[in-house]
Amino acid sequence: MVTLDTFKRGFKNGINTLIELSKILVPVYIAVEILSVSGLLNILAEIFKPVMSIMGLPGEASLVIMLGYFLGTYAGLGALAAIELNTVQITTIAIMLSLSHSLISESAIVKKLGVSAAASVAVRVFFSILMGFLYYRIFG
Amino acid sequence: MSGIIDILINLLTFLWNIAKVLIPIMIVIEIFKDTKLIDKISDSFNPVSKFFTLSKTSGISLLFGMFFGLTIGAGAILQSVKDYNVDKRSIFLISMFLSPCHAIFEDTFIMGSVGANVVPLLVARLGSAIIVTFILSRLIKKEPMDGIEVIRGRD
Repeated sequence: MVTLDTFKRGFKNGINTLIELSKILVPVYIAVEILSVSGLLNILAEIFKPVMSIMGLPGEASLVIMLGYFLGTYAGLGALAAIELNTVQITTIAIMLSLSHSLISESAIVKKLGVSAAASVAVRVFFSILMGFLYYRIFG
Repeated sequence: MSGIIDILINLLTFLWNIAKVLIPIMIVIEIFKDTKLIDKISDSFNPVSKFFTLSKTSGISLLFGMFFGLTIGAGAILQSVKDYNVDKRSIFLISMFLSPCHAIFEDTFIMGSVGANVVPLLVARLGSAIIVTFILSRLIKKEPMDGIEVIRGRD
């Protein structure tokens, strides 16, 4: 039976879960903000430039991947417009970023569940690179 | 100074955006529970739970995470732990599935809108999630207390 109590319980559970998740979401959000203005990702992108050719991508795509991995999909795609890419390359980047994005905040969420954040990151980065590579090899 | 205020406003918007989805979903879960609909959904999802050797009550968290994102999935898992005492092994396996494959509608839509081909995208995400969860579910043995059926040793 659905009564008013059902809604009250759901609302209460929602608030409680939000508070519980906020304990990690808020500090991580601030850390990500600091990282995004620090310029650290530009340095990382420079380092990983040569690796991009494995996935058939130009060196500049490195920044898109780093922004996506660390900050989030939107940050990565924001930088996408600055480079000229064909459909295969855009799809390669899309595959890589949809498998692996917002690693800082999402692994913090996984950690909250008592699951190893390192395992989550390892799985995502591994499949991100593998699937990006395979897509380029098969369709590129 | 205005930078700090910007961050605060963004932070509140960020939390509000989560609350907007999380609270209705928690209400939906309670409605599911009170109408026993949750049993039907869990039952129809049973083949998938069985394939990944997940406990029966945890399958619904996988669905929520897959459709609404990792944060919402995690919220549903946290709640299901309170409600049903879901075992750690299932939580680990669900997390490994959802890590590469979550919010499939939203993410696919965004990627499609920048000109990506979405079919290989979905195949890559679902494929990765299925492969990693399947392999880990066979590597990590169930504890005898977790379920009725204990996996027989292969040696």
